[in-house]
Amino acid sequence: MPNPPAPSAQSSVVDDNLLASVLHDLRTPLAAMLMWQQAVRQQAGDADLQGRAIDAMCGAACETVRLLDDLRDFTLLRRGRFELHMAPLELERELAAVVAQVAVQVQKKSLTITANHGPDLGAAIGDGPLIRRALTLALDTAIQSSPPASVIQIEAKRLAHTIDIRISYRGRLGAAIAEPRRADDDRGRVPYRGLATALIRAIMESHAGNFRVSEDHPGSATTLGLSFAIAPAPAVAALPNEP
Amino acid sequence: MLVDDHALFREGLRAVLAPSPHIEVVAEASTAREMMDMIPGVSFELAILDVILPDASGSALTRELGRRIPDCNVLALSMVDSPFTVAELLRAGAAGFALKSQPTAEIIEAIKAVARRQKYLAPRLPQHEIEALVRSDITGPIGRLSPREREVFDLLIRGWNNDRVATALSIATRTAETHRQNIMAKLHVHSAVELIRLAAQHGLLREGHA
Repeated sequence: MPNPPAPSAQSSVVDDNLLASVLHDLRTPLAAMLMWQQAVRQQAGDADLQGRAIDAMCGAACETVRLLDDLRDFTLLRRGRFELHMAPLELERELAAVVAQVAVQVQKKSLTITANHGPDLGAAIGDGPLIRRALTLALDTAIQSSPPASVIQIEAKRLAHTIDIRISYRGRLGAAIAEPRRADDDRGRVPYRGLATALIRAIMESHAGNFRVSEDHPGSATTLGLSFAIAPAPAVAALPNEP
Repeated sequence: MLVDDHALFREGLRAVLAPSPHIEVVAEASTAREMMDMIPGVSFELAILDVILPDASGSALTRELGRRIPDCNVLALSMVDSPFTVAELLRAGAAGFALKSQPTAEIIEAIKAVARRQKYLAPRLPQHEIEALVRSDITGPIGRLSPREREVFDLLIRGWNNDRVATALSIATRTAETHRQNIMAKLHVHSAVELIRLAAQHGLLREGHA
């Protein structure tokens, strides 16, 4: 077998993929804003349309801000410069809060979310807002990729040293985005929702855990697996601030 | 039929198309599967597809649509302007490719042209380069691979093992192994060395590859 490439080359590929993914993610709400501003110009006298356009453009602007926040936090986490605020988390309550947060999207697609966890799920130490964000991003990914009227299953388990949360849904994470510059160029091949999945992974790794995606039935069913340490080592909990 | 995973964009496009007397949006879908599920119950002459969907690429959906509704015209509407992507869509059977950043008047023109079974390419796109890409079979034997297999292939020719491929693509190691076996069978190679040799023969190895 040939030797694997140098770490710098691998890192460059990851960065290229992430960049392409971020570009795609940012273009999406901007395209909506452009479309709505054209609708307003085209139908200047339509007050109802103007109201809807303002709402839509606000929504797209908020989405852009959120993506920029995600990008900033991903970068800080990956460089070990995100200041974590570790505190005890009641996991059952955290899960319920995340499910409540996506209730509107769930209702729009007529989805059903079932959450199962043992009676001993208990508490863990973690950065609450960050853990909630990872769970929300994962659940949001499942919602977007699920067909209407299907079921999303959340299973949470307390293992010896980790909390293991699995989100399973019908559907796949997404075909790679084919945006190569040449036929032999793989730099632009981006996983769907690449920034979201990269951020989830970075958050889990900052809590001495990991994030895995598995295709249970390739092309038709996917499980997002998030795990994090019940009590991360102090070195993880107290990352140095930026000099 | 509008197929785009971004609801705000779909609503905006619908608002822009509403005053056009000859255009009626009869259905919307946010995923390829949603569109396929709707097909038996809705009749439409033209599909406007985003190139990037949660569950399929635009080219895969275009091919599937061509099989299910051969008479349906497809207009790809995207922010992506890579000539290779455009060529991929056209090879898959799309009649036109418009950009989301185009003025609405041009998008409406694109819709009308494709509905008349004419070809349409956004003026900003490099027409000659795209036509050359559509005509040529630049991918050679690699063209037999599915998009996912092509991704796995790109990593295997770097000398990566199944575990690393699985991690990079966020798939199970077992799935990566299945892709590896399928790739080798399709390309009639029996080892990683032969795979890399084949990639080299077709100029697919770049700096940083094994």
